[in-house]
Amino acid sequence: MNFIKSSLSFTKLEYKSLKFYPSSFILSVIKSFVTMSMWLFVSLFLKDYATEALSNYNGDFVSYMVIGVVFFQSASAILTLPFQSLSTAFWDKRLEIYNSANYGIWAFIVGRLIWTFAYNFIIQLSVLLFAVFVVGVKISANISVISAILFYLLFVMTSFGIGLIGASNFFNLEVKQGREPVTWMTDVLARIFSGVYYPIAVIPSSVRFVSYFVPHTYALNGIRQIMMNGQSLFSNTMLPYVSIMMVFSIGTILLGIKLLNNALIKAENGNGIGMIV
Amino acid sequence: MAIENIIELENIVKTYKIKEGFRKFKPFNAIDGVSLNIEKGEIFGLLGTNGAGKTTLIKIMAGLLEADKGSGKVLGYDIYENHKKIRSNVSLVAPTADVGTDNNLTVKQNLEFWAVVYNLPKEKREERIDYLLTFLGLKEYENFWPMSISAGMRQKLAIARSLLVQNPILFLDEPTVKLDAKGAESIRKFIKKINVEFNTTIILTTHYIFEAEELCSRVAIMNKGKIRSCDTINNLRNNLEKYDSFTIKCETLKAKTIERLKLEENIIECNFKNNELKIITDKLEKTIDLTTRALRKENIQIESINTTEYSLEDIFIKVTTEEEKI
Repeated sequence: MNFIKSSLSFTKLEYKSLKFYPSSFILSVIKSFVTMSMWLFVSLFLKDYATEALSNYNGDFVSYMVIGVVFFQSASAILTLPFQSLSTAFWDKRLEIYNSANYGIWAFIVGRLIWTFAYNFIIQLSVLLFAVFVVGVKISANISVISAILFYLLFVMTSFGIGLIGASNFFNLEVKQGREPVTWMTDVLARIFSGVYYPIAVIPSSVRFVSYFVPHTYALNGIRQIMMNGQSLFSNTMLPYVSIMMVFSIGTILLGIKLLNNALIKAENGNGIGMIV
Repeated sequence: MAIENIIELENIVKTYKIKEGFRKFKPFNAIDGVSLNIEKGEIFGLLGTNGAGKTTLIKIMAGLLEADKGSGKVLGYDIYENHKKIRSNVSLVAPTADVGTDNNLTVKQNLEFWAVVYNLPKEKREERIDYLLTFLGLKEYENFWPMSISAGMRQKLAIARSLLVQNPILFLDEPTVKLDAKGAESIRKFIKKINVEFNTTIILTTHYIFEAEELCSRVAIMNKGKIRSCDTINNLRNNLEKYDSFTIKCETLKAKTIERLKLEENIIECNFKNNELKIITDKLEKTIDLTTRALRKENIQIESINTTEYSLEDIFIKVTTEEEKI
């Protein structure tokens, strides 16, 4: 319970920062709208060519694209969060101070996760609602909102888990800023092979197998099944996606916690967690 | 009455790996065989130049960094086995006041934030924060943004944060660095007050010799990762009394001459600054004679010769340069 309270105080800190600089929120909203609009126009331009490859989704390339982009953007923010949090705190010379508190760096990371999740959820939800009710992007009339939220949470957990694995490189590979290889590679593979912007069917068959190893493939397929085809989380169609995403989310989070904890111990035994200068 | 050691370190070694390029690291001995006992309730000073190993030693004692070799206990907790226990029972203030201070929160909100992070019980928070704000003279600034108060006030805020939980040990890493004379003086006053009021053991690092002299019951002088000398200032001074020192005022002096004098058997330390040659020796008369003859031989005009009293600065210079001479 104290851990949650401690984490929430970091969440509150992010909120205070937003209140101080509300322009960054407005710019984030605009950026998300711009990104969605850009891909919306691309999909409008290409929709007639993509129909055949999208038979599973009633040939609707525009909805396919918008839903993919919205959820991918949201997950990307979570994916890079743990590493970015460590990097920011390190260069702000706060990391060691956070580590000296009872719950150490974990309360800080979890606090920022809660904030980033809520922040992105609000932005991407408004983008999605705008796309549906203003632009006219089609979604199923029978959407199970609970199924969509629960499945989205599995996607968030997986992204966070991979993010934690990546964050361990902050100490293991001594990558202190920029991007680290694990989340960078996940992001690149997801963009190319998971069907964010185009159906996987258009990828050359010789390299298409890569998509099986990218969690985003299952996450985006699953979320589209719920949003476009009105599938419930417990339907037979969703069963493989849910099972695989559960394995990915639990597996990556457990591995991420283990690797980051080991990396923290390694840092304490080596040059230290941060700098107090 | 038996003296209670709150920190006991034995032969601590810590080597950093300094990145030199891709997968290339160079070892750097930050701490090299340090043994130290710190008594409960004392203000202990770690004195040394930049890179002497003071901050590394503090990190090890605060449970933030693991030593490579040696053994030690802080508050009875093993420094290898109980990092977390040590961390949650000591407080640390970093050299720059801004570390850990959030500029988007007011002075009071900063303390409220850290009170939650430090698990201070809810019913005690308000009272404790109020007490600390008053105690450190921050009460009238409680609704100010940290950016709008002086560096000295921000340092007090950092100290207030570290005092939220009444831990028995407080580490202050260069607490007056970057402060003006007035701000520094005020912080020193509060360090003494914290020590008396809360019976907190305070370990502080400083570059400033006068600061250690004013605050500390004992000091350890560090150089190149080693403790060169550790005692009360009076004892350090008494130990040095087997030596004498004198100054010779003269206009110029060649570096070669100083180097030659340093090699003399009875000269412990020798430096030339502001037209004054200062020498510490274990044989005063012989050394004055030897030095004046050496200067005259080089046609250097001697304006005056004075014997001097020791300051902590003399002790510091002596212990940090003695080994280099050997």
